[in-house]
Amino acid sequence: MSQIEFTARGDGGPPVRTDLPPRWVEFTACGPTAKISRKAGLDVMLVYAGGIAVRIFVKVWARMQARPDIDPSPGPLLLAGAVVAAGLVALLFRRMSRRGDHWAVFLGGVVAFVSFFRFDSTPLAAGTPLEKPLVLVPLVPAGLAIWSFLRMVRNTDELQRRILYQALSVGFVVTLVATLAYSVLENLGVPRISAAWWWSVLVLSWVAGLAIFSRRYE
Amino acid sequence: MKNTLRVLRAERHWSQADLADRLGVSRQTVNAVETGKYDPSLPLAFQIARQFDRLIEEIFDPEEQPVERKRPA
Repeated sequence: MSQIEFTARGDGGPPVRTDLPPRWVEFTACGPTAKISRKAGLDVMLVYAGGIAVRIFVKVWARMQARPDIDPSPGPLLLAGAVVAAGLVALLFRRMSRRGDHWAVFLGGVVAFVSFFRFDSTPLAAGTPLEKPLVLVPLVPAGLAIWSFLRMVRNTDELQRRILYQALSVGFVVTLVATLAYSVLENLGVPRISAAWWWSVLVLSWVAGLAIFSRRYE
Repeated sequence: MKNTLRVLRAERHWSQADLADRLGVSRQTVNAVETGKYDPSLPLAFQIARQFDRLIEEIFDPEEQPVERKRPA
């Protein structure tokens, strides 16, 4: 059945084509109003750039601390640069949050977390007094991502909630079986994989579930 | 479930997005209800009925045919 319809405009203009079949990606926007707009995309990219800037400022500062042969006078300037960059990132988050764009806040949180945190790497500014506080910094965007994700879930309507529930069930059971099956294979000599990567199984199977179940209601 | 949503919507020259906005749901949901792939909850059904000034029974038809449904295709 064709889902394409023509809606007449009151002003007598040409009929506007509306109601193309919804795509499953629309669901990932998780709400009737929130969409991944160009604005949101730009903000998320700026958040990533800001996170990288903070990281670079702190890294250069930490290297200077470790080498006494370098003049340490630009040190405070570098730290101030890091603080300014972090402040700009915070402003970006505020802007996205004021727009009510929880999807953008979520992506921004993930991106800021990733830009600052790396798997299996030595801590940023190791050996300096800032080492331990800096470990806590990525928790802020991570917390923002969790908060905005829960907001998105709360804003979904009944059908979206059903799709989300079905997709999460798929993700849960696939991850459960995959982890158990792989542990059996490990006993048979298959190389061990770090547990830090198992989340990708969960996310991928969840996204696959979203794709499958959203299509069911198209 | 069969329904007359598409006709009622066309009478008012509303797009799916217009109706979705009025109901506070996504267009995906309006589309799924309209094509009969998703049965709305009772509160949403009441809301839909109110939007069109009709009774729920005038919009939705449960087409109860349990005997036919059980037959193999």
